[in-house]
Amino acid sequence: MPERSPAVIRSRIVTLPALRQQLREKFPEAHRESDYPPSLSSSSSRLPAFPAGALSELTPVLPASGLSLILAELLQENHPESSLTTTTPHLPPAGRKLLALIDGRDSFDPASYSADSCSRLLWIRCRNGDESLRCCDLLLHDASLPLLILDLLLNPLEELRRIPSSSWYRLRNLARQSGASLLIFTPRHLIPCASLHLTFNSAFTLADLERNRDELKIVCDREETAVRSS
Amino acid sequence: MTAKRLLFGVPERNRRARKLFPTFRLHLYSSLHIPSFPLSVLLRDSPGITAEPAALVNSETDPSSRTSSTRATPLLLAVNTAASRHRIAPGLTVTRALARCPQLILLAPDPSLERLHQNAFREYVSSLGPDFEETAPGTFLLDLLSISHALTSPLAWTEQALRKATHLRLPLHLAIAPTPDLALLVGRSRALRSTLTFHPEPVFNSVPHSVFSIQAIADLPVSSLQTDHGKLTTDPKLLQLWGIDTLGALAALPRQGLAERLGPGVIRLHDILHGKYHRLLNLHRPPQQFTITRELEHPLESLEPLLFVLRRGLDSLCSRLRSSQRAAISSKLTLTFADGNLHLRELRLPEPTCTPSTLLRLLHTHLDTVRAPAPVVAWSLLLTPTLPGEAQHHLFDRSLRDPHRFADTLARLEALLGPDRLGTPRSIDTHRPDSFQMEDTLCSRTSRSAPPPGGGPLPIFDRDSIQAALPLKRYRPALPVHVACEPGARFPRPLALLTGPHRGSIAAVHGPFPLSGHWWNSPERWQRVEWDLQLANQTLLRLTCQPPEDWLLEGIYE
Repeated sequence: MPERSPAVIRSRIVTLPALRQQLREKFPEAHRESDYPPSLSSSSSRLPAFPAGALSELTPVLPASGLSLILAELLQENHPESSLTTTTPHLPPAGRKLLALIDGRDSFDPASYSADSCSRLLWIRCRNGDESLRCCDLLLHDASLPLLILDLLLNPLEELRRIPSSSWYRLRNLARQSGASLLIFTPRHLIPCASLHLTFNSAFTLADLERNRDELKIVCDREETAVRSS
Repeated sequence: MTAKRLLFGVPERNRRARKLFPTFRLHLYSSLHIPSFPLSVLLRDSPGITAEPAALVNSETDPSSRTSSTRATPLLLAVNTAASRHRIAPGLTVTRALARCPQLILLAPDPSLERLHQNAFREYVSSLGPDFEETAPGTFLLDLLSISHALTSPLAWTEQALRKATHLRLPLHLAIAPTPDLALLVGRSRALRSTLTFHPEPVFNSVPHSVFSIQAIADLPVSSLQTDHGKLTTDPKLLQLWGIDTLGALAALPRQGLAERLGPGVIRLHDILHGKYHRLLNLHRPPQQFTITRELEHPLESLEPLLFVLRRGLDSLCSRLRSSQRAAISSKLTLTFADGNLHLRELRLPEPTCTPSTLLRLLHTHLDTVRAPAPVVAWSLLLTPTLPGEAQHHLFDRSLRDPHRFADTLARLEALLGPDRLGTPRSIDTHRPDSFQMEDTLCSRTSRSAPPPGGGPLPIFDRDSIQAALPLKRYRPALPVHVACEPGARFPRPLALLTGPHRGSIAAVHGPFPLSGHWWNSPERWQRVEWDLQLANQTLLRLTCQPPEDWLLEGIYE
């Protein structure tokens, strides 16, 4: 192996950081700290940042608090993290954005969303909370999707209170292993191990139904819990 | 310019080559040609007119009236021997042909009959040897390299091949030559080809092919020489200008300086005539079926032994796929039960694969959900082949970690929830509320991009224009409620919800919004009136009334 002169080594030491800096500027996606980002930050100011590899609980305080607007925003967003490309011949190479909605009471209304939003949705129509948790468990085990939404808003409170805490901890551990972000819509605070609690205080009225969806402002209180290992 | 006699003594040449190169293997090709194929297949089934003058025309004809129909100048495409005796040749107009021979029978081509006999001809050629080229309708080129007795005793093989063709009941020309193009040319020479004719009994005429002489085909026009794509590489008019009309004249030219004078294409023709150009055959390969069917000696009553036999079948099919450089994109499973019932299921794969364990995992997940009415007595597997997936991603694109695992997870979810409970929602072409269809998530983009059979736009009904600001959360099924209302001019006006999960007086109402559809079709006719209402506790609801007075709570705005 030929010996390198000190001048050559010195020049490389000088140019290497510059080269790294250029690469970082040109390919910011490739220079993230980990395979999954620490949070699913949003390009929209209406959406908070949801922690990856953890549970986030979203709860309304008042009726018509606009919690479904969060889902509409997520479906409209162009998350690079959820861009799935396969070598499948019947899938276009441009990639597709897929978001899983585990619908605890089969209450999602496709007509309330645009066709484009619906096209990036994997809708799982459950009948009760037990089915929803099983589906959530399977998808977190699969670890293919970085963002899952578990909608339990219309499930009876008694049914949700019967879910043991260990089930939520299990989901949290699975989310941590897979790096997925799990958003759970609940009618009350139920999840002891959620890293983020969001309480929605908006109160929309009948007149707001006539307005443009983009004009509606969501008001929420944020409460972050330190993630502890179990 | 004098035509030089060119001799290709094939056995002599091969003997010399074998002496120089011990590993040399003789190459011979056989051309099998049905003369005037479209006309021959028509005359085959009409023995009464075989001896009569007959011709094939390029337009619809009325054989009974022996006149051509609508086209202005129909031309003769082919004629039989009896017609050629009347100086009738292909290319002649029908009017002139009928003037020369009023008894001429005009026949129209029958593509379906031609296809039928071409298939039979192909089967016959495939019975002679595995490597052959389907050069043209009624013309095949057979590589004799893999037929050892054809190389050692060509005459005996020729007689044997002609005798095997008697069931076709079509005239056949068979010729042997050291190159494919020469084999086609030799097939045109009366002196060098073996023939099978019917008068009406089969008559065989075999000729020894030991010496191929260019003199035998010297009188053929230059246009009879074909290259790889069936066309001359040089303009025949250019050759005519040089006084080169026949193959003999072309072959007699010295090769040196030919390209400079007549162009590089002529060198190819010259080499063909001298046996120096040896093209590759475009070998015919029948389409492969990747299917396996087994009838079981002992009926299977549990899953494990069934998976065991399916695994063996998948191993066999996948090795066949790999040997063909293909991968499976879907698998179709058929189970036959002892009571005669069948279970059919097609499983689509997210990515092409030829890994048996991946395919078995999908089958296993599906079979876990199957309730068998009786033991399984037979099974069948069909894999749909496709090219293995090859796609170049962008540098920092993130792909599914394991598409097959994701497909397996979706199958598990479907097994857990049941059919139509999983997928991507897609609105359909109706104004009826809550109308949508579920599509397979992995294939939904395909079906959206694929054009409908009619070629028109897809019937996608996008409700973007009528979306409310707040998305609705539906009660499925809608909840029946009692409503206190006051009578209105056309529709009643709701005042309070008396039952249901959201009781109370109504603070504000938007509506009524009458909706109806399919009024022209009584079984599917629907009609309803909708209200958006706000209760005193700020809850926003959608209420409907279906005639006569069925009040339903449709959903809640969250």
